[in-house]
Amino acid sequence: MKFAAADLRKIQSGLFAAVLACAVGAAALAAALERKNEAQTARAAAGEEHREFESKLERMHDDEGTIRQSFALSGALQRRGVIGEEQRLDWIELLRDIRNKHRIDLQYELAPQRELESDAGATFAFYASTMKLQLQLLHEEDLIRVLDDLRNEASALVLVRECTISRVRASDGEQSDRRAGPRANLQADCRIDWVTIRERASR
Amino acid sequence: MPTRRLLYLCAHRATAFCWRDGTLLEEAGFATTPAGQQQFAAYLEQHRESRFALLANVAEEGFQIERIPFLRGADRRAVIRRRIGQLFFNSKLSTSRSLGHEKARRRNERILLAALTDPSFIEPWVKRIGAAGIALSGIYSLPLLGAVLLEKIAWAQARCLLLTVQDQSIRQSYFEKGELHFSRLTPLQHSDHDAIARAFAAEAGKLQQYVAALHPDDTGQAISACILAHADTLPAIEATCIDSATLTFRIIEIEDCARRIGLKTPPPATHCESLFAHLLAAAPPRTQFADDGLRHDFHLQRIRSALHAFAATALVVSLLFAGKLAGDSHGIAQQAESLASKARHARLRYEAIAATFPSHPGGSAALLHAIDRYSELERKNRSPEGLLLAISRALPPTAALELESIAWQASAAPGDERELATVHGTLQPGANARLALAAFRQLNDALKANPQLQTKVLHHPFAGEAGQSLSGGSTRPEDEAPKTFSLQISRKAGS
Repeated sequence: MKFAAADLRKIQSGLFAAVLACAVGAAALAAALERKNEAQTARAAAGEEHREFESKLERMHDDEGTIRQSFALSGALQRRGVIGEEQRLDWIELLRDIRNKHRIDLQYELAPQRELESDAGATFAFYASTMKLQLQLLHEEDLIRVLDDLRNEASALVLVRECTISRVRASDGEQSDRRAGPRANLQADCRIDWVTIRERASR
Repeated sequence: MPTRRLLYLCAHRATAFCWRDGTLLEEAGFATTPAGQQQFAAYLEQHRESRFALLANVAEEGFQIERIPFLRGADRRAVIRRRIGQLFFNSKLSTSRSLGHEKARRRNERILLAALTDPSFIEPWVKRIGAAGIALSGIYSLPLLGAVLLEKIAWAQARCLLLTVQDQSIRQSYFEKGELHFSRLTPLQHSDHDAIARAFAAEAGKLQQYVAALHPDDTGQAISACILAHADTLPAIEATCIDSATLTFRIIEIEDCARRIGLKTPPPATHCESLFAHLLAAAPPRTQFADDGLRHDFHLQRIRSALHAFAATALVVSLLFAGKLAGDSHGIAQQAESLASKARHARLRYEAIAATFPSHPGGSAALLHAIDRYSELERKNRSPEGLLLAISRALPPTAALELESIAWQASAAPGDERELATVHGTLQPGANARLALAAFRQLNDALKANPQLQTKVLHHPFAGEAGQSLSGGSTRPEDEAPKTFSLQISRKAGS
């Protein structure tokens, strides 16, 4: 069959119908496919959000007891003074009370406060003030009691870094004056960090 | 779909039929004169979107069986064209039909060549159709439909004759194994039953003789003649057409034939025009006489129909897929909504529980992190009490050994949770060296026996080991000086 240009007019309706049908069909398919993709995206997002909150809930159920305990501990630490500004006056008064209580001679030197750990991104920072504490003791048990009192009473977290207990030898003058009362047999030289917690922004 | 119409053309008349819902309806009749052709042209103007087929029943028709070499494609077409030109004087209305290849080694092909030898009778009608721009699907001749008819009535014979009456003529065709080999048309002088019966008998006899002459080797075998006749004509035909040794008759009622081919309205008489017209409309044979030039509009119409069909199919398929995708989208959207609802519910439950927790301006998570760190520092916090107690228990109950100092420290290395104590002591002067050493060893052994401790002697009080130098004497004051020792004791946290 030989195809002439004039024949195009005789089949133009068919050609037009074919092109139109293909265009309409393609458009319908494209639109339906687009809609399906959107629905799949929405489903994926909803599924992700659902998984996220279910996971959070699961963790929350698992950690609820721990979380509540932690909040309770934070309240206790705030009331005690561990969280907040350093209360150096309280520390000094505590040392005085301990000295009076245990009837021991003590000397202390408190260094300037420094940041204990460098973590610029954390909301709360840990600060430490190092104290050199020298005690004159009758017995090493006195040292343990002093350190226990510091831990229990101080408005800070007391970290004992080192202690050196040395025997104190009496001099001739001291020996002749034993009637003056009990004399220290031991000397303890300790290095202690007084640690507090504070929000970075509040400084 | 264009309406299919059929023009039945014989010597005296042209009849137009319309094919609708499987039924052929006679629409118009035209005389085979110029006036009739004009009327036909006017008829065509009313049916420009139709598709026409032309069925000719004319005497000017030639059939010839030829043998050609085994060829394919253009070579074969060229050979056939040349043979047709030689046989039928280049008639424009010609055709060929393959009758198969011989089984001999050369595999020559047997071809039936046919032509309408007087195209001038048909051309005016064909031109009218072409001038109206109407599609002509083909030009067919009645003998070529005979094979279709025999197949429909299940008359499978090695050699047979088919005799039918239409117009004012009897068509006689010869078939071998269902393939047309020869056909002729004889005018019918009278149309009464007896005249038709006599014409059947006479023409069948003539044709049998003609075939016998063509096949002298088969003279002993009878040829069967199939006659289509109306029930009214049967008695006359049965009385006239008597079987003989060379010719047997099979008479088929025309109503039965019409039923077999699906013609709902059987012819009212023995005339079979409507039978063949129905066959052409229902199952047109592939062999026809119009060339591509005459069928150009038909091809264009088919292309247009195919394009429309493609358009419809493409649109339906696309819409079906789009519908399926839309259904999938709806299902997915429902799943998304369900998940979003569950997520909202979970978020509300989470927020409700979180609301019961104490809040902090800096953020609860940061505060909890700080508490966790505080707890860790507190857990790792050490006291010298443990090691002092262990050393105290290890001391032997003897005055010969005195501790001078204990330097305790918690390890500062990250991850190292040990405690270290360095013990300095003395063994008293004047004591029996052996007793003093025993006291030192007792202390050392007691410390080593403690599974929680690791002990290392930094300085031995007596240089009595083989690897050290040793000196002494009766008057050396250093023999009376206290002997010092130092031990390093470590303990892992938690032990």
